[in-house]
Amino acid sequence: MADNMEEMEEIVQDFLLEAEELLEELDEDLVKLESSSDDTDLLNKIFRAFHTIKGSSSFLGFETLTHLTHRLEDVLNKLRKFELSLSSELMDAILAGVDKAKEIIEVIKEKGDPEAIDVEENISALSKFLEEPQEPREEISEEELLKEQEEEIKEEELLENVESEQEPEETKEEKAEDKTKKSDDEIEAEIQRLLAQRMEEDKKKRQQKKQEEQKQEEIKKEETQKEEEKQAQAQPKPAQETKPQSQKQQAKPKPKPVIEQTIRVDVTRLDDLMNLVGELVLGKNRLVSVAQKAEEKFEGDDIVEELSGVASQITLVTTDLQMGVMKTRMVQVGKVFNKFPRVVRDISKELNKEVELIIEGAETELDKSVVEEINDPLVHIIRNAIDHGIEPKEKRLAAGKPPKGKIVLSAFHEGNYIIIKTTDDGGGMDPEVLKSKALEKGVITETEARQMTKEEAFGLIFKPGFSTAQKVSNISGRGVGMDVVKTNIEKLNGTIEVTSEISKGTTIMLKIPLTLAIIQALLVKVTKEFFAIPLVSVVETVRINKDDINKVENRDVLRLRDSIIPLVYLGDALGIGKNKKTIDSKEIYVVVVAVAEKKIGLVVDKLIGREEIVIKSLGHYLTNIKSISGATIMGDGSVTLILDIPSIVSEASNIETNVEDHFADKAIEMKSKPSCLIVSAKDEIKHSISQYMKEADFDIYEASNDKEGLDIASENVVDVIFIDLDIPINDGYNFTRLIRTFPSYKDVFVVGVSTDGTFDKEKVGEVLMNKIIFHPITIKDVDAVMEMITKKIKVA
Amino acid sequence: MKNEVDLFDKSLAMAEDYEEQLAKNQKKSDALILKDEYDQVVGFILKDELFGIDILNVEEIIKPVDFTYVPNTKEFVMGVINLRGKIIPIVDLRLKFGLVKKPIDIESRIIVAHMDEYTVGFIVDKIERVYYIEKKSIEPTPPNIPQTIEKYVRGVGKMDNKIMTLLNIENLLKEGGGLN
Repeated sequence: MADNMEEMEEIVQDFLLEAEELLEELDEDLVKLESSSDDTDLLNKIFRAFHTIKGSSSFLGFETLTHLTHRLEDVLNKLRKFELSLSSELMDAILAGVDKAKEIIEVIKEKGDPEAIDVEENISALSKFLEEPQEPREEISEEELLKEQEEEIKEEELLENVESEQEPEETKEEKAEDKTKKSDDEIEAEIQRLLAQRMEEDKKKRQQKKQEEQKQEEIKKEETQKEEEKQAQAQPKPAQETKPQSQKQQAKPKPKPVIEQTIRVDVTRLDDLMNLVGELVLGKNRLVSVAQKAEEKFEGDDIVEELSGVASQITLVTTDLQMGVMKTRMVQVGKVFNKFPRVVRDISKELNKEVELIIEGAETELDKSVVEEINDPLVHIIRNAIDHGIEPKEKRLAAGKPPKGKIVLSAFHEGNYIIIKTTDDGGGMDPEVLKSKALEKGVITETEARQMTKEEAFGLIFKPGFSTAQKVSNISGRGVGMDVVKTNIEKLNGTIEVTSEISKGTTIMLKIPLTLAIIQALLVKVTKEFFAIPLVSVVETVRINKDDINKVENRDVLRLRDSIIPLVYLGDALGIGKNKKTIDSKEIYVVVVAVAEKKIGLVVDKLIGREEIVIKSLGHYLTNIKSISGATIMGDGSVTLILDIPSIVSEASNIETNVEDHFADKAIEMKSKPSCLIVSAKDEIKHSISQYMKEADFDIYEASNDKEGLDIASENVVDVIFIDLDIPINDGYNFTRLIRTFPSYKDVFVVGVSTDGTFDKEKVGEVLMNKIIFHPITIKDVDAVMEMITKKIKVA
Repeated sequence: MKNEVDLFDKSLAMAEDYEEQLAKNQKKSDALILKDEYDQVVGFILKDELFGIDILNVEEIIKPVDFTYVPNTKEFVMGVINLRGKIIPIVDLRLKFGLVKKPIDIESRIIVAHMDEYTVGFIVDKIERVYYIEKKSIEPTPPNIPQTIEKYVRGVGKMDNKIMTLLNIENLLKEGGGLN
């Protein structure tokens, strides 16, 4: 029983997949059909699609769907026989039917009750077109009948045995017709004979073409056909009587077709594979960093050379593997694009505009998960282009443009990104109009409006609640929509660029990374923390000094070539910058980031480098953390957070920030006497050192773990540090290594305190520790230190 | 008969011996019945008080490792760590319970607890050991428990000479640590 249920479930799943694909194609084909209504191939293709869905759905007992698709099939049957001409109203009815079918599929997918959906409206709309008088089939000459029905029989016969059991009442009418037709033995026999002949020829032809276009389905059809054909020849009885038998034979497992060029793979399997590749990339990064360290340490050693060789080979293979797995997840963007002819048709019709859609680069590939996310944004963009962009016909003619508006939807690759561009030849946007609208709606303030550049003004269209439409229509003007575009694209780590010229048109460019899991990032250091900035958002990095920073309305800005870029200290943006003074005022690093036309400069302490990182989530406990989009694991096993640049940029104007406050010079200015930092978890060590240092008239700072120590060191500039080599959490050597990365600690005197009489001489040299003293500490030890540092002490 | 056994330093296999022994003492042959009557709880200290987390929710206990601070999280979230390729948030239970902060020292441990898809590491002062607590000796949360903690307590386990505050891991984990 359970097995049966599972099998059934599988069959239904297959059906849903197939039906979805067919319906998607139908949308495209139907719109194509509107412009070439006499394309027989296309008509047949559409007919077959409806027929297939009808057949399978009736087999699976989805009555409403069968009912609906049956009627659609009837209409198409008349269309392809040219008994009915395609009018715009008929096309509307057909498209509405397709939409309803999609709805039913959706309901089945969600395990709802598909029979509850009302299709009567669609049925009656379609029936209207069927009611027109029709020539009876018997009147058509035999040959004609043969030709016409050949294909129909091909397909119908296979399904009919199934249908005959389950077909709902509505189809009985047709069957009765079929019976009258088939009861004519003479015709039937002739049909069968000619059919068999034709079939044989067909088969030969098709076998030749097998390599390029054979699909499993077709083979199955043919095989069934062949069987039926044999029976028909063996027993000269009406075909219907042979059916029970043929059904039995159909039930027998058929040999699998020899050529199988594609397989369907569960997406979760690919996701797992991608995750594993992610882990591998992390491992590779680690291997490379170990190899580098080994090279520094034992330069020239044979084994080290070999290790480096292995590391670079693994790097190569990993990169290839990553590309390979990524490629298996790639689908053509056409999967999304192909929906748009229909969308454009519907919207332009509703708005009474004539719009032509040109699709370019539909074969461009990108990750499946990305494809799923770009559909909605594109619908909104296209909708906006037709509603706001393309002008009404009269206005176009007056402007000397062709009456038919043009929208170009194109996709192409650029490095590790895919660019999706929509260009319309409509009225374009006037930045001044956008600004005044935004002011009116209270989206921006007057000062903001004044300072806004053209690009920033275009960015306004992505603000929630913003709309330039004079009146709210069904299609747009409610002010939701374009902000959806922004959030969805940002979710994909993508960026949006808008260019527009009045009366020429508007172009919206989406730049999206090819894959979501592994990205390129820029690593930066702020105070004692490291962060990764996705490279897609980074425009450039610049090194400036404090004289390059200007003030506009009391905010820091940087003049970079022709533009003025507001500066924000990243520490302040993340709320970790309070009292921290870790910027070297002679070497200030600025990472210029851009999000939807808004550019800001993030001031950081240091640029570490560029790295390929694997995005990991922070888990369920930490969801929706402001300014943080995820985390990654570095080569040394530490965790680095990935910044959510869009949220930082949008928050930037609300942040209190003053870059100058974070200059290390400030800490020196504030100092009145020399100071020392004692970092140890043991009270007796802290106590004895601080006693001696107080006597020498030093300011004392104490910390009981390395993190506290680093915090104190980034708020002040001390002249000497005593560090317990066993300090939790990460030992004294690591503390020293980190403190050396602070600009004002490059040559501060660091004294290691050993509590057990031992120390690692090599590490002491590596992290540049100046002296080691041993517990218990005596005045002599401290005096020795004092002597060495007196020359160096800095007091403003 | 004592209800405690020092399991922490020995292998977990000891637990079975102990169960057998307990069963013998109680003249019950079936160790399974015993499991139904006792809760196994990991006991730890937080500001001189004994707390317990059901052993079924404890993934592992680790020494403090370097963590990465996460901005814009609640005060008690210390940061995240890399636990064999998984990113796990670390919570200072002292801060979570409104107690005085104590710097991480040699005795500090991180209890990695999980429930459903939530996994969090809790920093505690010190790990005691695994306790067997008779289910019927677990009493509901007494009214004198501070309000800041009440939500996270599922009851109090009474043993021969001490009591243990048993934590409601579900409430602790599912509350989340992001600022909203």
